[in-house]
Amino acid sequence: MVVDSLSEFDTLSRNEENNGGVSLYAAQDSLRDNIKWQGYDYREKLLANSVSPYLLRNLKVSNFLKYLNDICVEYIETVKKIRVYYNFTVDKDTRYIN
Amino acid sequence: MGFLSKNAITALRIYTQAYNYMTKVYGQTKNAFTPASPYGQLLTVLSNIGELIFYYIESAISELNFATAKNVASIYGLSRLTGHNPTRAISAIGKIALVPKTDAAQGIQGNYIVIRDKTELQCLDNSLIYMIFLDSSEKRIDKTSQETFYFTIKEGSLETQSFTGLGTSMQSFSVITNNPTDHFYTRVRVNGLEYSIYDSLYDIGPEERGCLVKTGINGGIDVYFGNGNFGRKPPSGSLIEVEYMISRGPIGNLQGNAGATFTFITEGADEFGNTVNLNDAFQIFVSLPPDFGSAPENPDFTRIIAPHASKSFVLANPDSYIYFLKKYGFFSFVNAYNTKDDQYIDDDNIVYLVLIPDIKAKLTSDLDYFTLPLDEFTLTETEKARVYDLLDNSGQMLITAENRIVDVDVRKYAINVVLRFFDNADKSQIRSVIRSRLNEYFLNVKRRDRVPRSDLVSLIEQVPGVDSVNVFYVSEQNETAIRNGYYDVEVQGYDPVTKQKALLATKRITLAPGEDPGLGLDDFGDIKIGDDEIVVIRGDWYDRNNNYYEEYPDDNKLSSLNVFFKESIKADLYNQIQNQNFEKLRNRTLTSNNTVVDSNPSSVLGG
Repeated sequence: MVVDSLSEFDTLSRNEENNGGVSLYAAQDSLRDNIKWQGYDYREKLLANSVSPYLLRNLKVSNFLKYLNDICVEYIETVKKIRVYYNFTVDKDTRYIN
Repeated sequence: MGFLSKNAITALRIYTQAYNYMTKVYGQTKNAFTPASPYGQLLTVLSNIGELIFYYIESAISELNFATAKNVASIYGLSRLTGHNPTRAISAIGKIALVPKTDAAQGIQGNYIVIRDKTELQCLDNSLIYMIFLDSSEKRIDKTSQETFYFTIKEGSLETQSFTGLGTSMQSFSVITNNPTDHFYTRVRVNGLEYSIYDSLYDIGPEERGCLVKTGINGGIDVYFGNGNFGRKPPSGSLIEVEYMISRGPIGNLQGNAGATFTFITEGADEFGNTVNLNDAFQIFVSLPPDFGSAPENPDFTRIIAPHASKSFVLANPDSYIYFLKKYGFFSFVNAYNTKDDQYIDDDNIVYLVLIPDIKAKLTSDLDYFTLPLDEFTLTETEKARVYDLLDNSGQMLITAENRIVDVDVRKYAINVVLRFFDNADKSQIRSVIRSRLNEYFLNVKRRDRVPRSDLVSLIEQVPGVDSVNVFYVSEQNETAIRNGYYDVEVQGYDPVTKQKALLATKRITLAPGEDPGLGLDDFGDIKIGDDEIVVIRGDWYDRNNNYYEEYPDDNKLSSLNVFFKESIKADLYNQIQNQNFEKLRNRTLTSNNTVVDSNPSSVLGG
């Protein structure tokens, strides 16, 4: 059995395993949504698509990159907030404005 | 992050500074920590992502400024804050005639054939989809009928997105689309019930099923619901469906091609609900070729017009008509006026419209400005009827108001270009370039007062091989007057029966021998354009010396565009150097011109 040396830090992850940081209350407001043209969802693969796949073979590096990926995604999402804040027709926490 | 310099943020600098910092702090040798090493590669990737993030921030900020925004969606979105609703694309509309085939009845069960609402057809000439829109969910046609059935078709295809109702007041939703959508076709349903679309929230009654649909802040369209007092609030958890039409705008226009071929894509049904291939059942004829499709509003125009947006949604005065019609992009020139300043009061409720179609939208690859058919420069009766429909259907006209589209007079002119040229230049090449440049000029410059000779001189003297140029306009109206020895001046008045401006009499002015009245030209020799006139460079008339001007440019005959090579000069080194010096001087003048164009509202609205 492979032991993940970073598993004790899993609660730090903001990816889907921990509900992606979306509250259940917010989720009920989009239950019936069928929204098109949201663009490519890069959130899980931003770094994985940018570095050599060879790096990802190493479990430690791969796990480390997940945390790094979340940080980079968060930076990019923060920039999107500018557009979302300016658009008064959508909720300030909406994720579907690109 | 003290190791990063903030003077100029580039990926390379971020990388270099981070690399130097890490080798210094962690004591790594440059042999072990290279771009090929795992962490070297990560550093490269992160520095590039970092630069992208800085780029996104800069882009997002500059897109928030009306003056610096470049994205069309951003310009539209910012203009929405002023109350202006930028026009999205407009789908071409036409009419088809369906005639049941004589042998259609044999293979179809029951008595009738069903054509459903939103039945799709494809035009084989441009491969675009058109849709039949009915007033009801279906139309039943007797399978043995020999009548002709007419249907309105509209270019485009439908797409739907859905949202979740929140139960709160003033809910709004942003519908992102990847293609231009039709300005007029949007349907909003909440839990399957259709909501009417209004221009203003205050038009919606208490608990009425109504909403607002506007061009989107971030592209696409935005939908706004009311607060209970003005429009019903979609309940919490309700299904909100927004159906819109993806439009190809002017590409859907068939340019009067009544012979276009259509084929049904959607199947019909028989009396028992079995599917019927409508292509087997009907012959399709084009009754009214789809037309009046237009592209989304020009963002440059949006920038100028947005601050002058009317908030009243009422076509109350000429300016509001100009604002309304200019948004649609059908016309290269729109003017509207009334006659309240005269003593005749019976026509004061009439708004006269001067509309000149955008001929650029009518050009095909085998035509240019000089060969475009003359009737394309004015509105046809069908096009006029559509403008009246557009105004009626807007619901914005005052009840007492009337409109009249003024018939514009087409004034024909010929251009004579006299050249001195370098003796090593190719004359046919010079002719060809001159025609091409003047073609661009007349398609793009749409002045309504004058066509200055100096504009043309300026363009032509830049043609390679041209040393000096002079341009003269010849006016058909003027030449005809001189040939006849007189010309008529119209005396306008008002007809009390039709309540319209009307021709009361014509006054004949006789010319003395040798007198030149200069009709259509001013003291500079520039073309002078009257209020209800359009100018076309076109022949098919005789001048004072009975010379016939051919209708279209002809190199070997006198025609609407003539290039005379009067004399040549040697293309020696001295002349070429002087010519180059002049070009440098002119280019320097052009590049140092930073004049800010005044965008005063009256000139903008006027044209």
